Amino acid sequence: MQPCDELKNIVLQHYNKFHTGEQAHSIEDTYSRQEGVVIISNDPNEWFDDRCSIDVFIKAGGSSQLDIEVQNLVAYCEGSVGWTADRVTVKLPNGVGIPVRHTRIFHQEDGAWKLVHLHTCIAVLNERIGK
Amino acid sequence: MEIANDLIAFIQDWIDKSHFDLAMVDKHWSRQKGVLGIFTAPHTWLEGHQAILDHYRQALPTKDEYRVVVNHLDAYCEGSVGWVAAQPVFMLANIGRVTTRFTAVLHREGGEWKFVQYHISVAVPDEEFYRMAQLG
Repeated sequence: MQPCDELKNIVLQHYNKFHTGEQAHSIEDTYSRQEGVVIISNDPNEWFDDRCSIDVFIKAGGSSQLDIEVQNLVAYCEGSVGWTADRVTVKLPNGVGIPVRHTRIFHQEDGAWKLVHLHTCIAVLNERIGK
Repeated sequence: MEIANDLIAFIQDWIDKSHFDLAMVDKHWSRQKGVLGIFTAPHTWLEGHQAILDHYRQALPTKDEYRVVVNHLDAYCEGSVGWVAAQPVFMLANIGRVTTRFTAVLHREGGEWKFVQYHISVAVPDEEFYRMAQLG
């Protein structure tokens, strides 16, 4: 496995689009159309692994304007598979910042990196689990 | 990319046993540079084999403290890399039922699957997210 700046740039370019709410196209272009794509987001019901629900999820969040500050971003690849992890703060208009962690897994298809997994989470203090 | 049945079997075994078996943790986490474990708590962004092993050592429960079942598990591979998504549900003696989401990347080294990236999280309901968004 080796560090992969190309994947870092894909993730950074994606976050930059949230400033103007233009992320929908980059999201649609990035997802693999193969079987096995999974998107996991914060809510307990947000586990999407079929094309239809993934498309609905992308459309729902595809025009939200958000200010995303990236703290850490790492990216690695080996052969035709790559993966990234990041910690970001989603800054809301009221000044509140929410820390979010993402991991992504990419697969190279026809020369382009395509997303096969996205896992988004907000960390939970151990004492809050189950509350 | 293709479905990896051997990886599915390995992950099922890992979820069943790894929390009680430090030797298994030591064996199946890669020692390569760039290995990362993201666990549920805010401070648990752990880089490197030793930091991850220390985390397991500190968090080691007894078998009486929990049971775990896996609601969903799939795994794919291509070349020497595999990846998984699963929903382990923990039944904890002191808390009750906790559904988690687990994704990982594994690298085949010396004929064994070894974790290079690992992410386990507890879902946060939208209503809790909106409360955080209002109050910080």
